[in-house]
Amino acid sequence: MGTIDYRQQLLEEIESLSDRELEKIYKIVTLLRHEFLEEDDEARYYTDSWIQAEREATEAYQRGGLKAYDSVDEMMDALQGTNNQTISELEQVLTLINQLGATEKLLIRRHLERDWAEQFAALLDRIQARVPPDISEEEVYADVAKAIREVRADYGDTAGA
Amino acid sequence: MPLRIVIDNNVLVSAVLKRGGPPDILMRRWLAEDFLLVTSPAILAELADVLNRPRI
Repeated sequence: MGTIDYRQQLLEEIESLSDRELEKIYKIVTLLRHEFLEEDDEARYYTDSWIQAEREATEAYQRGGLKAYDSVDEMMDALQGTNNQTISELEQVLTLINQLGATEKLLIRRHLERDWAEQFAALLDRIQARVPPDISEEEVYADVAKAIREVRADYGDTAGA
Repeated sequence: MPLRIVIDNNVLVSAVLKRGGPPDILMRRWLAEDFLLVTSPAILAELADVLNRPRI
């Protein structure tokens, strides 16, 4: 029965990796070693990341956000139930969105993009600042009216063509 | 239901060009969500054409 040279096998597998990929792997290995491998079985549960995870889980449990399970099967059943509930809630939201009219959708979008109005106002300020102040309102309105008449005349020509 | 208003492109383009006039004030009221601006693809196409005119 032959023996497997794991070291040689590993060297062959990493031969095609770039320096950047090797550096990433090195960092991950170093991190893992620092966090877990260099500690004995008992000590690895006292690393900063483990203690933080344990503290967060305890706090979540105290808030009622986590439930204690008697078995892995019970936990998996609960997870599946939560998953089904989430899917059901998402479907209800999607149904509601599909029932909205165009106006409601627009209002929701504007509500979600509130800074859009601020950006538009800032753009308006920049454009207006570039217009020479000595041009009167009447001159502006006259120019605009003339441009619109030209465009509408073009449309009329196109429609008639 | 908010007030819905259709504004002629004369007013919209003038608002872009002149600060402080009635068209500008109307535009700022729209941005403040005092009313809902109602428009259409045809109005927007005309607006784009007008804004691209050398005169403007």
